[in-house]
Amino acid sequence: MEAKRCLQTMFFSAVIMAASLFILFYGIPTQIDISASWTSAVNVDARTMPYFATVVLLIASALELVVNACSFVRHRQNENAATEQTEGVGWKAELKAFLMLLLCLFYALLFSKVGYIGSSAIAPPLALVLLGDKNIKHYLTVYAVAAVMYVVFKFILGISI
Amino acid sequence: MEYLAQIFTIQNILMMNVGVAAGIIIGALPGLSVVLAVTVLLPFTYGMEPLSAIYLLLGAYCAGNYGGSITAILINTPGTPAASATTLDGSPLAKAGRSGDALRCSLVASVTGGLVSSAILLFAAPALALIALKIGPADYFALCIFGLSVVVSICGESILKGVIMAATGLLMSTVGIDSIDGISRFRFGRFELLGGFEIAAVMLGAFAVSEILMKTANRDRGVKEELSITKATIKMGEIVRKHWKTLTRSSLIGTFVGIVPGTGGPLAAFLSYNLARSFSKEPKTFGKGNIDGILAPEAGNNGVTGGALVPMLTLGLPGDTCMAVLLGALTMQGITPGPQLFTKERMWVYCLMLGLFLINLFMLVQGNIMGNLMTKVAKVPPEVLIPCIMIFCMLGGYAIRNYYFDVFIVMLFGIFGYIFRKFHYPIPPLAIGIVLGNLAETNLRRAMVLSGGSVSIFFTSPISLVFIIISAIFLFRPFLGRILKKLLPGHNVENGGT
Repeated sequence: MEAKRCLQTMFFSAVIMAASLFILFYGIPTQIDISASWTSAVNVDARTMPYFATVVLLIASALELVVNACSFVRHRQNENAATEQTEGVGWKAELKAFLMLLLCLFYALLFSKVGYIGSSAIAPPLALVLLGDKNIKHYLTVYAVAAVMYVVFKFILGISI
Repeated sequence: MEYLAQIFTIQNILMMNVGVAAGIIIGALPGLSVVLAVTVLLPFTYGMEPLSAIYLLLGAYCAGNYGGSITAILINTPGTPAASATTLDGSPLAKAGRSGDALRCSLVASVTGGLVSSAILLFAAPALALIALKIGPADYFALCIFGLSVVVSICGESILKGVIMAATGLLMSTVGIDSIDGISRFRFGRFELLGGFEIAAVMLGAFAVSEILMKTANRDRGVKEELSITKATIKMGEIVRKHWKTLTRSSLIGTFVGIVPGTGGPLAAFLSYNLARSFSKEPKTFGKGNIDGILAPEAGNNGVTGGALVPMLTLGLPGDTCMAVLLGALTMQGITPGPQLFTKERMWVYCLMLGLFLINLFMLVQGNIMGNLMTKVAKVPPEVLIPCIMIFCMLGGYAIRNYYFDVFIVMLFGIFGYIFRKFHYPIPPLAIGIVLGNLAETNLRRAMVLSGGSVSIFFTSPISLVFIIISAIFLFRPFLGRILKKLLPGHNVENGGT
């Protein structure tokens, strides 16, 4: 289990390293034009902090990769290989989370197209459907919360939604 | 007696309570900031007496900082950036079935922080203002680095992961228009990103949306998670009696951090949390529902309320957006903050400072009533909680600036937040990195311009040097511990992380 966790962290560290290199050599030079900068004369300009943060990100993720690689080797030697193989990824749970994410994005899109009332009439109850809830009281509660929030934001706080 | 007669009028007492109620409710709603609470109430002050007007706004300001802890504890989503540190122990304690105790601790700590800072404001405001004037750009930069190193060292299982998240936050804080040169950075042509990412949108996404996804995944794995808002079993007097050291220390930290313009609640909260953990006899229980882990950040972030008034009243310098709104309100009422305020409008100033005590006491009463009301909600099943949080996120994201773009930013950071949490990367350093990033960069560049490009300015200023040394100690302490352990076999050192 620990070995698997080290492997996951190594993978994610590698992704962060790749992203850092992309930002360092492509993102910053193309997105930040310092030709008009007057502070370049003092060795700091609009690119300094982005470079600093990206380099720290790169070094920290590289160190994390190395540390976890060493831990992975150590744990693999100690752990029972049979135990390792029986551990699943939990794809069903991840799929549910992915579907919930898609629903959130759908809610956001609907919110921008039809407004708060229309989108809240559809998306939050769909979340209950996705979770397999059949209790009518829960659906009514969600609608009640949506209504209360509408009143608070629109009439008390004066935010047009 | 004259002061009391000025303070204890029906209108003043009413405005204090209205402000407190509005502050608690708005502060508790994720996506709505303390600034919104104060700004929404500003138009109501136009026809009021100056003292009533400022009491209304101060009530919202003080209570808004407390309100942010309610959702931080109950649904692991800080209502304000300052409540980010409260999630570390508040949420675990609530999940352990002691949400009532967590809420009560948060309330007591907030009130204590507010009262202590009010007392310091009353007796030492002009003297403390002189300290604020001595802080230069190099000191500000070092203070930001110190704040980041504190957050990195206390969050999560690995300092390297904390550094990665803090660096990510710093990088994201550079999005928008550069404050010194006016150069566009990482905007991709979007006008909505002129001012960078809205911190409220980032926190809604990283905390709330990721929480929705985590709850969905955990539910499918059979992990039972139920929000049970229980009655508080711990008494207020007991909290103060047993934890007075943490409360006093954190309140003082909050007050002194608040005096420095531009720093604010998040820094005070994390500094207080870290110190509480360092002084604790059970540091390993922090992050798992330790009472001091709730008391410290809440006392710290409410301690800022009185401290922030010091530069505003004595020098006319607003330390943050809230203070700027308050300054505007005072100007509209014909009151000009500055050194002469303490001589020309002495009565008014001291009535304001004494009124702050009352505001904190009203916050104690209202917070207690709200806590008791919430226990009647009893158990909230996660099936209901998930769509409700979804509604908060949509509304909260849109309410920031009335841009649909911010709602999509909430979703984007929700995805990031979920992925980071799945790989056990802590979220608070990301939020603090974005909050402090702009302040750090602006002051770094100001300092370099002042010094003509020489970095010696950071080491010749005593305040800056001290903060840099302490930051290095915080970051390298676990590694130093391991080295000491190898060099001195008999030396027993606690392992602070990777």
